[in-house]
Amino acid sequence: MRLLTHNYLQSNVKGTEEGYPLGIVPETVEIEKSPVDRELLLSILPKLNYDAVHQAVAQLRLHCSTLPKLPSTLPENISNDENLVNDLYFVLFDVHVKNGCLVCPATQRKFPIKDGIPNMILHEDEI
Amino acid sequence: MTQTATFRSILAHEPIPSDDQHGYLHIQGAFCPKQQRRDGREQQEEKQESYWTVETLQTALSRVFQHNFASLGFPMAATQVEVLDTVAPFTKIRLIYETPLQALHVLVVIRQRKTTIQSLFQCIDLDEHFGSRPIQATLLTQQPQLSDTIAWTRSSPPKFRRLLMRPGESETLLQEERATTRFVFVSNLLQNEHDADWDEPFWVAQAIRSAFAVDVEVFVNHKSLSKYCHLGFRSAEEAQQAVATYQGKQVEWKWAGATGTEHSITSGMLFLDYASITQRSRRRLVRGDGPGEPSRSECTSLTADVQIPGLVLIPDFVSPEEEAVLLAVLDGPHAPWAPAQNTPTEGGTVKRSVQHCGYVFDYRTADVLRDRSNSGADCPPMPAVDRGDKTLEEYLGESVREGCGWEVVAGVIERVRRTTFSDEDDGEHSYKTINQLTVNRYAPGEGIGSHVDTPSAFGDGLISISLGSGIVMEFNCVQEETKGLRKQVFLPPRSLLLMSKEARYSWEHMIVSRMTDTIDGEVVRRGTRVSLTLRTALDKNGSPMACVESHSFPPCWGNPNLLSPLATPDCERNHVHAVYDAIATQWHHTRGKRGVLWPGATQFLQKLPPGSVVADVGCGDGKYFPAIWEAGSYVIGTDISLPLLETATSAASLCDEGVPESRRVSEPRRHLRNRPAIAVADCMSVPLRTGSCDAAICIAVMHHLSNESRRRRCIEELTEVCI
Repeated sequence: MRLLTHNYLQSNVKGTEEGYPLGIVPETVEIEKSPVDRELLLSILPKLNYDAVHQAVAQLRLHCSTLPKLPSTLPENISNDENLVNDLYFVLFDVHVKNGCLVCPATQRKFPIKDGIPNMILHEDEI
Repeated sequence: MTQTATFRSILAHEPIPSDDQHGYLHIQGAFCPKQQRRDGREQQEEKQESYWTVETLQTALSRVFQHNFASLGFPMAATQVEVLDTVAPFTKIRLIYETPLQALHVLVVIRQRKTTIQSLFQCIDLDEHFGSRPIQATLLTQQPQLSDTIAWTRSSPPKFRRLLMRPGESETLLQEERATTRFVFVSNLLQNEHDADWDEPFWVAQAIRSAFAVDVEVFVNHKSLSKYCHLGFRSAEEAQQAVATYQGKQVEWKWAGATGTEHSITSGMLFLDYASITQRSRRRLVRGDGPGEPSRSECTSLTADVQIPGLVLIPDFVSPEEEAVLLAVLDGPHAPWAPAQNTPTEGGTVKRSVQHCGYVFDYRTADVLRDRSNSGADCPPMPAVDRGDKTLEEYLGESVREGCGWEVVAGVIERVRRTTFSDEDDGEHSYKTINQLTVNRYAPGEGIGSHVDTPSAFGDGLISISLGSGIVMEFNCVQEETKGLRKQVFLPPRSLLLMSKEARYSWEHMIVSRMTDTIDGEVVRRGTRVSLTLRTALDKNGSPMACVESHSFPPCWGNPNLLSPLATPDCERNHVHAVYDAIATQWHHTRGKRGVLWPGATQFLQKLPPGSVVADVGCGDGKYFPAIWEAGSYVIGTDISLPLLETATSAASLCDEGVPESRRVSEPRRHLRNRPAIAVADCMSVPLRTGSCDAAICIAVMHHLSNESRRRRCIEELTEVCI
């Protein structure tokens, strides 16, 4: 699971006011470099929840110290900052949480991640 | 023979031991002169008593049984007489005869003549006073008892049952028993009533043996001898042979009377059948088969004979074809019982399965819940017909052919509404206002307590359609003048029962909880009965409530806020989810991997501006992912089947060989394919942030959702992800 995917996932447990962003409890994290797709990144950025990215990186850095440090807020004109673009791309596309779990911020319900696939299925009493 | 030899009495049914051994007869009584208690001679007697010793008794008895036997009517002499007691009053004597049969003859004479000790000694002119009670005689043997008869004694003779099919028993078990039993039921042994001589069971048994075999056990009951008896052969083979030999034949019984005269009697045409001994455990087996009372053999009849005003039974209201389709939907795997529907009553819950349509009937308050928006009052609407320009019967016929169960339910309800019930006293009636359906499922052994349907809740005219199995309904009159009247009516399958007027208001009706019903004297096992009860729910003013109905099937719960449509119905869980989980790999290889895409969907994806984020809800093995990636976008796929998602990341998915054009991924995007963004999720609850995506696709998914509210919900989820 990429951090980009994580940025879109939320918890729908019954009674959850704000099931976003999900906390990450990583067990295995893999890093696989890929060619930077600048266009894709820049078109996705406006829809991204940057706070969630920032928080996720902070949580993962405890586990994986090679992650770059990101600014707490996104600068206005990011397309000119080549380093930040690369760092962001790296964080969003190249860091994969292989095993671990996601945690609902409101209910602490854990969603397991196995082989990179988070399981967001709810029990019958949670819907 | 030693003193320690063990003797046991021969039971009446046992064959008399063969002639190669002695016959032993045990006689009991007080073989001691009685003291005279009159005329002051008492003292004298006491002195004289001393002469009465074992020796004198022995001498006296041998004179009686070995020399003077004929004067007492005994056919033969005893070979030996033994006094078993050594002191007065000498109660036990053992007589030994040449053969057991001789001993039997003597026994019969003693019993028939009611021989007393007094009469015994009178014949040898012994002028003493002895007891005047009849002697007790017992036939003894040293042979051990058969092992399977060990538990029987004279006080607990075995009980038999004919091995006939009874409700609740397995046929294979019965056939096995019939083939292995050594007991046979015989009837028609006597053509006429028997004479007094026949009262001696040993003798009767011996006589019956003369017709069959000397070593057969004969179980005779005096009262029923003229009707039947039971025979116990040595083996099952012998029993089968006897049945084959004597079935329908007449036999000759021969026997020598106690006096030696030969008698001969011809039986009637024998009827033989296999029987077995009823054991307690067996009885428990039969009873334990199911709950409820055993059937009472009461006469039940059709309504033709039962005069309850307002009670009308229409047989064959539903055709066999309609019944089959109705049962398939009402009692099949998609049966409409509400999920976890509980039907609490005042003292528990209703045992049978119940489902209400239109309005819920609350068993606790015995009233209709009129506000459908209240919690607990939510139920599916009444099934309605949507027949277009077809006639009702055309619509029904077509629905039956197509196997559309709910349409048939709706059609049958409509047929009821259009039916005119004629009443002798009161003209014609029809019940067009029916607005409530209760589907009941009575498993064998289940019933319903005696009740009159709440008059304020339901109007006149209660209709009950029986499907699957018939049942006996009991009516108890509660009207003052005729209180206590009870009538039983058999409701055949596919019949319609109308309870109106007096039958509806003045008679309670019930179904007794039991496994069987007695119909015209015949015990019939109950099957599963599904009944459709049609009623008119009334408002507080006594006017019919509005009919809440829908022709969208299967019926679903009207208020989505009360009962979540999100809960996966069992039918989807069992027939969609489980299937995809099981066939995931195969599906991937034979379907998904071929990469046949819907052209419209592909066009839609290609038109999206590059850099879009697409949600693919129900993505399966990610068939559409390459098209999205190649369009310069990012896709997050969700599916309920983890095995199917796993095929998206399997080695087969990641290889380029033999992959069709539509599934190929260009070099710069291979990293996306190698680690696709996928998550396990239900399309009823898509776990993506509201408005986070630019587009959502949901391809070949909607048809897996089993009802309209779930399909609507899925579309709502898709829109919410994008807007």
